[in-house]
Amino acid sequence: MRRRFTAEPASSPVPGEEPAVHEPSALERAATRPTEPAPHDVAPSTGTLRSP
Amino acid sequence: MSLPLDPPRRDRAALASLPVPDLPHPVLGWRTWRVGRRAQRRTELVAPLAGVTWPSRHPMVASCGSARHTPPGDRCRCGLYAVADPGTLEWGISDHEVLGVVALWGQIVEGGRGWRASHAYPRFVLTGPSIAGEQRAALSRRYGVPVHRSEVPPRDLAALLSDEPAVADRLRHGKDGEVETVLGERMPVWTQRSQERRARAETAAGRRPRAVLAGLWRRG
Repeated sequence: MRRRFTAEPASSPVPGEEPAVHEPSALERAATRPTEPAPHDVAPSTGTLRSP
Repeated sequence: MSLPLDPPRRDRAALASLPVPDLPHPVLGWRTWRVGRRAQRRTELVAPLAGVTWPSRHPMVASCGSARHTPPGDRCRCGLYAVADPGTLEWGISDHEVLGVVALWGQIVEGGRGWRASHAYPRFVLTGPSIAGEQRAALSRRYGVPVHRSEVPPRDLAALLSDEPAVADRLRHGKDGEVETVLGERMPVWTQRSQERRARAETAAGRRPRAVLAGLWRRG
């Protein structure tokens, strides 16, 4: 009985090959997402910051 | 705003659908290649049966004439081969066949003796004494992998490694430095055993004609 499976090396077995482009996971995207400024910090018309 | 450890529901579904490989590393197995004799092919590793040249610095990707599946097919013999026991390898008659370890990845089908895979690349190569040092060096430069010299012809070496599975596995899974260490340690013993085996084979071959003639004389 033949077993089928997948193997995906973390680093390329080919010398000098460019590593595969790493698409960030949803967790990584969430961790690096910039925080939204609070509404009262942003002027409604110009979007510039002003001190409260 | 969602916390980093609590992704939105749509992201959790997307995460669940991403294919996770069964193994996070390649499968390593033994196989053979042929190296060319002519000038244009002296730095090429060629699949002995298919006659296909393995690309250098790029993965070898299996192909199949059938449009019904991508290699390795379940009911097809396509794919890139490697075995666990080098003693089970099949050899041709050329003295330019070499032994080596190959990294297999992608889709893999495991059989009784080894594996068939969709992707592969050599990990290291062992050549016999019939291949010159400058050809070994050129092969190594081209493929970017170590190419070691064996004092024992690769076919004999494969049989000797089959008798020492623990040593064979050290070579198969070892890092570059360990491969050199094992070869340095064991090559004198392997050389002696190979010479003894050849001497026994030649003696046995020499006895048969005399036994036949003796039988004919007795009947006459």
